[in-house]
Amino acid sequence: MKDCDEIIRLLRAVAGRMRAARVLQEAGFALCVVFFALAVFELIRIPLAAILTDVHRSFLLAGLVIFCGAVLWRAFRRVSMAQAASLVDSRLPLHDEIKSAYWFTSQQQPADGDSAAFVQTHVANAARTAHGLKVSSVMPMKVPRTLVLAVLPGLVLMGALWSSPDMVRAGTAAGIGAVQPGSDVASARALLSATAADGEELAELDKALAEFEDSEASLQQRRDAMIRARDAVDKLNMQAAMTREGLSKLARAMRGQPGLENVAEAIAQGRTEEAIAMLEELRDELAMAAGEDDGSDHESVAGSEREELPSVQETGETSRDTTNMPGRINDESISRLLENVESAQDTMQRQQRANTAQRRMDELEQIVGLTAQNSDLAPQQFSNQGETPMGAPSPDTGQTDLRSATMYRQAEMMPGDNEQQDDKGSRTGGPSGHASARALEGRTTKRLDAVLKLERVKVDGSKEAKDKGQKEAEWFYSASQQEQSETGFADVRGRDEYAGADVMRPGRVPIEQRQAVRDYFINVHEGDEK
Amino acid sequence: MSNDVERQVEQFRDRFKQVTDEVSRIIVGNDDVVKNVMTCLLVKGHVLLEGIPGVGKTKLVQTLADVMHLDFSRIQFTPDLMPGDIIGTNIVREDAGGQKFFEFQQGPIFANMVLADEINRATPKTQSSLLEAMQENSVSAGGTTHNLDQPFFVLATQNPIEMEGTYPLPEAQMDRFLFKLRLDFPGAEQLYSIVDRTTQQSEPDVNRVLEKEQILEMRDTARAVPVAKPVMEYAIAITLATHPESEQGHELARKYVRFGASPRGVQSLILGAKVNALMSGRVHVSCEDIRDVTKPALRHRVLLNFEAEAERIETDAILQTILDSVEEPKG
Repeated sequence: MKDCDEIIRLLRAVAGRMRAARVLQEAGFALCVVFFALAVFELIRIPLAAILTDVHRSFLLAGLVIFCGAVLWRAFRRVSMAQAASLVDSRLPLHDEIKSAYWFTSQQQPADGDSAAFVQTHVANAARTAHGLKVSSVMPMKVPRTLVLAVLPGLVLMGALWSSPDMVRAGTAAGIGAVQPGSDVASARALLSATAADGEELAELDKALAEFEDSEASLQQRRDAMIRARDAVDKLNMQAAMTREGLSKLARAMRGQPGLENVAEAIAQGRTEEAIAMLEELRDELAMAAGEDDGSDHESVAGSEREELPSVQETGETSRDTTNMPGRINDESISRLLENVESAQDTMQRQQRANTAQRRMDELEQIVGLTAQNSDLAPQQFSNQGETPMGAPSPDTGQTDLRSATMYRQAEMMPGDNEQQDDKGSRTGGPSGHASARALEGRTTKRLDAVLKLERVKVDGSKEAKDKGQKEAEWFYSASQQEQSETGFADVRGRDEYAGADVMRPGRVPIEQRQAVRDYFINVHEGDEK
Repeated sequence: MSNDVERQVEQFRDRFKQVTDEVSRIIVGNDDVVKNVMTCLLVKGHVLLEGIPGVGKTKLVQTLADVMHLDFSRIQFTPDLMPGDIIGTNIVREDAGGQKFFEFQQGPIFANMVLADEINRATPKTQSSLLEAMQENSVSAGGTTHNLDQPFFVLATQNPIEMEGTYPLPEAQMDRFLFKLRLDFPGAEQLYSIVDRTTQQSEPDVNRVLEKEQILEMRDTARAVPVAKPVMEYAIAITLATHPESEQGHELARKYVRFGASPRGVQSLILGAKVNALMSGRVHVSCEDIRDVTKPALRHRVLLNFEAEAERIETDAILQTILDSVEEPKG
């Protein structure tokens, strides 16, 4: 009986250690799986932020908990004595002595005879062996390999959690909303930093961006906000284009004005700040001279010069809005001119801010996957149109690159369009004057992203001009061959897009009224030709 | 009690070793064969020896008989050998008064150790008479049963070549042999020893180291060794793995085996393992003992199919695969 106890004592100890080792082993395995699954989830979550939400994570966690429970339940199962005996026999080459002896102790032993004597001897031998064994030598406790392996996916998970919060937060449903003030992620609205004095369009854009970045907003609400924001930016771009156009016309009108040539040159070349400085200097000089000069002389001079200044009809509506040019140079007129140039500069700065905010918004759109079907134009293409530096193409500014949506506005003031009726700058199309108007922006409208280059073309004077002795060739800027081909292609494509453009959304121009709207934008700039 | 058992075991080992040592003075190499032949003798089994001519089959049996002081007889099996030539026959005798009577004339089977040389050359009828005696340990002649003297041990040899005109043993009769052993052709060193020992003026003599009674004692000791159920389960699992139709049948057995080992196969495994354990000085049988005797105990009980014959698959290869794949019971 004592022999049996000795064997059972050993086997119990070994069984306990086997169980503990199995639990550690299975726990390591479970940790491996859990860490790996979470790491994969976190990594997948970055590109699929809009799809994978906290609900999915909850499901994953629930599944992992069930998995861990099943694994641990299996691990905690009892280890039988026979299993322990097998382990002892296999670890130490005992030729099944313990296993065999344990079986005989657990069975009713033969009462008598040679077999009984052999069994007793066998059990006694096994008990002696068990007594001399150390449990730690049979079943040493060590960290299981699976637990060590779990470190690897654990590190991957930590890395994923540590390095990707920005991307993940930006990408998840709550992610856009997580662009909270004070957070590290740049907010499009913060970049806009709209104030009450910024005007209606910027206020509209600010409102749209606020909704876009609202954490509670749904995907559809964000999409609508994005469309509104884009509309507001387009309006601002339009305003800026008109302003630049007006400035260009103003510069042309001021070139003939003595004392204002440098200012005109600066405005034409887009150096508005320099122009403002020169105007302020001129205003100061006039103010100083006002005390010395006779008022009547000044008035007569001004009266004679008034005829040479462009009238409201000549400069057109846009230039009138910008310059409101008085007929002569005096303190008041310079102040008004200064005011208009400053206003134009403000408009362009607002455009820059709006486009900066829109670029950020486009980045966020890409993260949440909102851009997929909304526009074929890349975010950079939206933003680039506002970056055209004083985008009036002219030989004076040296600016000949035209981009996408502002093209038809800028083409209006191409040099030479007044001289040749056939090559007259199109009010609607490319700088070559032959491009038709692009369809108004719709959800499916494709925007032209051609960087167009103008080239200087020599044209022989007309017959009348030759007769008059004007031998010199005339120069004007025409579209390059590349530009012509691209514009032509865009025109053809644009017609199909025009027909298919979806503009029936709120705030959009109905398709049947688009021609009227287009005509309006064409005709509104014809003032200087009449 | 414990000391008594240990003394028996020790005695068993010593005697066994004495026999094998003595035999090895004559038989060069093939220690395993000698050991297995002894094992069969000690568990009341019989051996089928297979080997090419001249490798020492007959010499081995003769030497064993000499060493163990047993009656030895040799029967050269030929196609015209009759059962009566083996078991004996009743002959008419006349007493002093002129009265005639039948008297049983014992055949060569009445010996402790019988060498049935080239058993496959005799007709099945003659073969079966020997095999019946092996199974029953007795022979019947003229309505009288004659018990064979114990220990009774048959060692049949079979030549794997020159099979024309032979009568291969039926499967059922092969099953009667406990082990089937193969005598391999000796290596260069062993050949040198053989030539050196047998071409001199006098061959070495062997001493008688074991008597009949001692052999019977050893038989009792071997049978007394206990076998635990897990070890028995292991032997059964190996046997079942050779059965193509069994759920536990090995994949290789399903493909190449026609019939698996019979229940006698398990008995052979256990009995052989018991002797093996005692030889190792243990009083219990281990799975390792089972593995050691698996091939000699089962190789003639596993019948290969035509596909295996065509692909020259050997039974030993299948058994080795089974041994590698069957796991020991872990409780």
